[in-house]
Amino acid sequence: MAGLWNAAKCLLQLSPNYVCCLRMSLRPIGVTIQPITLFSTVQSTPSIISSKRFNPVVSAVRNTSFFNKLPAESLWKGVTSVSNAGKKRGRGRAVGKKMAKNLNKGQVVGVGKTNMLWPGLNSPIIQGKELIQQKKLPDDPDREAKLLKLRDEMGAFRLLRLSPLERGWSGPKLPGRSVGPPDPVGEDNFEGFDTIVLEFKIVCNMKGNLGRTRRTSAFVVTGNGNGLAGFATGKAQMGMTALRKAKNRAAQKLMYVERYNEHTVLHDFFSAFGKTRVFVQKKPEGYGLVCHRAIREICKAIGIKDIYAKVEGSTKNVQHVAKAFMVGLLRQKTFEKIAEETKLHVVEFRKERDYFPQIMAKPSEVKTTKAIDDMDLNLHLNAGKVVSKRKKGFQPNESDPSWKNHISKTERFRNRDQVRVNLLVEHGEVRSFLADKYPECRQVKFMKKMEES
Amino acid sequence: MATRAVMFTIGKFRCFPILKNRVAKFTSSSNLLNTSTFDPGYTRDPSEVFFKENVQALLDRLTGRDYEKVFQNRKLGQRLEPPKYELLTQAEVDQVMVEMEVKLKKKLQMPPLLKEREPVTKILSKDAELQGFDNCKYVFIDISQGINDRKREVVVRDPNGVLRDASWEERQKMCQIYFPLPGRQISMPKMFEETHLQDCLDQGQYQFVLDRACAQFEPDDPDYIRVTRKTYNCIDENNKFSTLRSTRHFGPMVLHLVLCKRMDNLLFHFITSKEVKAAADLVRLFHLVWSDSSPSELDEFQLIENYIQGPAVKKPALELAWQTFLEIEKQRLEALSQQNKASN
Repeated sequence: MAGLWNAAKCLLQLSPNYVCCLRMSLRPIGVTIQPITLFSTVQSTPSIISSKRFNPVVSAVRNTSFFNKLPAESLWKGVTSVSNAGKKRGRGRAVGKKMAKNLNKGQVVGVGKTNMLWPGLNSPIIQGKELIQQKKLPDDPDREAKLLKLRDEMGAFRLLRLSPLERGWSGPKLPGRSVGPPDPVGEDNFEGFDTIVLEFKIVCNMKGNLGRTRRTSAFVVTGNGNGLAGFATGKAQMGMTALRKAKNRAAQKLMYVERYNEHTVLHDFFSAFGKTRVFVQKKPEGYGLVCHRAIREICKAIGIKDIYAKVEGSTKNVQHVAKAFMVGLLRQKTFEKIAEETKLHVVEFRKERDYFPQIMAKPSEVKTTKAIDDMDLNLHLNAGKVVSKRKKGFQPNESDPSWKNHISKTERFRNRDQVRVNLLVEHGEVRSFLADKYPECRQVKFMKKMEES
Repeated sequence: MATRAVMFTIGKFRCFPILKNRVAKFTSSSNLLNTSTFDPGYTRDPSEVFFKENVQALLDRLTGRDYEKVFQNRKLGQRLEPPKYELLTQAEVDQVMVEMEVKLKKKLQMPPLLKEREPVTKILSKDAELQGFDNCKYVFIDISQGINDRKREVVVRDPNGVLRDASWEERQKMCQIYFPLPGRQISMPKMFEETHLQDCLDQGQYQFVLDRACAQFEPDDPDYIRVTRKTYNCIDENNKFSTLRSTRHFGPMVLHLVLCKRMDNLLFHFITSKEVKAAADLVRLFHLVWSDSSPSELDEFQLIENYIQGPAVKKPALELAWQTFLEIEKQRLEALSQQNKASN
């Protein structure tokens, strides 16, 4: 109907003497208007124009466009639009980027809107002795809905949910997670071994010819929980490959670590690697692994169950932390060695045994006088150095007004727990001394209402 | 929170030897020899025998000195600390062992066997004009520091106006309130009631029961005597003598069994575990207690044989055990002599 508008324009040009302007609305009033050619000689009088109202409509109805003409790939490319150079730089790979949906998913060749049996396509031609004919099968009303549902779910990014036992240090990320035992080598099956990922990062190298090359770096520790452990790093383009490399390399570099009674280190020690310093203290049974998360995983791999380790300096550099800790563990001195070095008995005193002496190691010959370094075992082990302990914060003395205030407030319930226990022992319930006289003042135990079956 | 076990095991015992001087007072105050209402195992006053030096020496020898057991980790529910290490010369090690000897003596100090205490009857005054001053009795206690709890003045004014010395139970309760001893409850714990006590003994918790009884009661308390006698008899019935070996309770138990004339199970235990010295000591103790004289035989084997033939109650079992032991001894000596011959 574009021609009509042009015709109107021409009319205006043809008859410039008309003073009144022609109102040309663009809406039809239900009258089919015949197309008028541009260069027609029809002299339509103003009366014709004013009596019939022509409303040209510009509505494009095309039966073919770029939608049908272009393949799916280029259509998606137009929407997602990351240039080749951009792809190389890793652009458009963030969370929430537009992903191309494969619309063929959920559909099979031969099955369409009309559910028909096509022998040779979606069924065999001969079944038994019969020839199968083309047949219309009953419609599947949900087909469209199913497909749409599938497509809706496709683009959404779902967070991987792991059970607490499988989780690492932070959500579904790899650090802290176990990646199974190392691959068997010859006869060694690495039974009882488990590897934990300590670090999993993407590293880049910039070169003149290649530009920026990305690789994943994996730092893992592997151990059998019985003194043997090793750590290593592996790098590759793919994450899984890097993990595998690291795991197997760690299995090649196993080290044996001495433990005390198979639950803790032999003695307190200090070690450093680069700017990372580690102060380790021996702890009794039941204390647990109170340390940096990387050191905790290494202890689990070795089989140490109780330790206190303070990391100072660079705590984020996991590789340095691990190396400092391992170096310290390997430098431990057994009691026999200490006895031989100092030519003195190494005697253990335990509080729970009322400090009864237990001789741990005897030297071949014992000396009769002690040097200054022999006065304390830790002094001997650290070559005269002493760990500087931090002072505790606020230590109130009895005359502090703030302490007095605190005491006056807490005195009410200072012994509450013990009182409860004593009441339960004596009376079987928590009750006041007035409960005999006033039987209603008793603690009512909250009972859940049993559901009526 | 202090647990039950810690409260009475760490050397907080009062010095029982002081009572040795008091024994004379007890016996002189009354001529009646107390009979225990719970288990009339014997009517003699055990304190006559317990404090004799030769008896104490024998009991000491019988108890034994297993350092590992005496200083074992009792698992008292306390927070563990990491062990401490020291570099010591031989002289220093010996010095430490001497200190440990002192500690060991304190840990193996035997609680005495006494007869039940007489109830307190002393009345200080009768003031009838004070009758009905209140509906409950008033108890007064002297809380000056430094007085022994047995000497401390504790008096009671009854509602009928009588002013009297406090009974033993009242005295112990008041002293525990004002001068508490660790491990002691103000009222008797339910554990010492018959049913619960039997439960504990059925579980085999002999040392725990005896330790707690030591902490809770005085040695002449009828409850203490009841509990300890029941425990000793239970151990005797079940032949669990090794549980008390190298503890402070072994001596009193042995003396109790000798006084009851029930020492045959123990002798059997010694013979079967080939402890000839201990068996001989036991027989010597028997003679000391019952005839107040040390036997003339110097040979241990002869001593034991005479006992088995003579005063023993369970003759057949003991004879069998003794014969078996002699056989084994003979074989051992033969083997040794053959070895010597071979080496020569």
